[in-house]
Amino acid sequence: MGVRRNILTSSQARTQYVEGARTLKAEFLGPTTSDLAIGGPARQVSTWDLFVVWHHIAMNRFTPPSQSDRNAAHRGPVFLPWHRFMMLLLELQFQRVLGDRDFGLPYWDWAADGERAPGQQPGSALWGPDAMGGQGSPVTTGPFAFDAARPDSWRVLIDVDVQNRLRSVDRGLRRSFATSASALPRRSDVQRATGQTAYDESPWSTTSGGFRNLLEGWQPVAGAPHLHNRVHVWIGGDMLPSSSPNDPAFYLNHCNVDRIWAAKQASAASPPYVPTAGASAALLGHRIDDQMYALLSSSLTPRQMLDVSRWYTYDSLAV
Amino acid sequence: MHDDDDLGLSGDPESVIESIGREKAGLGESVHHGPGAIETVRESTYRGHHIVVRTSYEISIDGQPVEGHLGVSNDGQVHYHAIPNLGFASAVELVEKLIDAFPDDFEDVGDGEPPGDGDDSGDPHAGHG
Repeated sequence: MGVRRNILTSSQARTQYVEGARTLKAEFLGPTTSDLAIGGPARQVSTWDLFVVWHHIAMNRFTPPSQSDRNAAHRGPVFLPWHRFMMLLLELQFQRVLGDRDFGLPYWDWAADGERAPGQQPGSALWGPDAMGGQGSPVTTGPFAFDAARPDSWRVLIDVDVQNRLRSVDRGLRRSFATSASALPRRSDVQRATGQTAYDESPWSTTSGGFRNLLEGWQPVAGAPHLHNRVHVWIGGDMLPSSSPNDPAFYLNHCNVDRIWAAKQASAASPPYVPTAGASAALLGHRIDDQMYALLSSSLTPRQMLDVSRWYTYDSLAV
Repeated sequence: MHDDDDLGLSGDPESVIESIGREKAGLGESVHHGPGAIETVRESTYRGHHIVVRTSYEISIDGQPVEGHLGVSNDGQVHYHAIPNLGFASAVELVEKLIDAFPDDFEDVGDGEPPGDGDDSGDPHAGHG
């Protein structure tokens, strides 16, 4: 069983994450851009990039198709179980290429860095050369730096264009810290989410109250972005489009989001997942027994993601 | 280290390839709005009355149409699927952000700078996947 550790306090987790990410980025199992309906000449897609594609497609599937707000992975109750599903499958890929069935994806406790002064936040050890590297267009430091002369340097090979179409590219990773959001979330922001008494609430969207929507980051509306959303926006660059899993920092953010959910689940006042199976068909794709959108495995339901104790645990649920 | 379990989860490459094979027929669906005006639909029920609000957007940048899907939440926030982490009070602000977020799609004409580090003016309401 994997143990998910804080990437800033576990050098082993940090080293394995970098090694596994780079291995999956360089592994080509056979599927091509043509298989995935990506335009241009067909070329093979790495295992890492298959998850980029899956995330984009899920984000662009309205659930149900009759409305245009909730999608198969975001903006509704399924946000947390769908990303848990995604990370579980990625974790299995890491375990395979690392030869370590106890490997757990690391998390970034971004609220700890959020307690620092905004001007100091880009100086977090996370962005050091022995962790995720820094910002830039392209990133030029750390294990995901771009060097045009080196075929083995980290390359973004699939992204989206302004028309929201996947496309083949070949360039370096981009980050632009604090450009669109000035500071990371703080502990008090997390506690406001974990203090919610309901998992989610009607109208089950970005306008809902409840734990999921606060953690996803759509509420409250006033002021800066929130929690998970703010972390994407604060990092910027390739973390902005729907191809955001291009940046290895994507999973560090989502692993922490999942950890916060796990902490909420472990609390004495853990609310049940809603909507229930008997809820309106207008909530198709988000009810507890609905099939979640899968590309790289058979589908699962939110109910099947509620207890992860057979797969992984966290080194700490202190949020 | 990549065992099948009772839910069928697996890290085996063969499992991944088989799954993509099953899904690929439907992969071209609905990820791109296409040409023409973008219509959004908001629905609500108030005191037992069903409300439907349809809004059409026709957006261009330098004369080139923006054709991805745009949506409006019931609180009036406008969002665009290509930058799913962001919501805006104004569609104009949203389109300005598209120019910043997709530098490969827009030639830099040198008239004004994108917001720099620490500039939180107009901080959008953000969300992501």
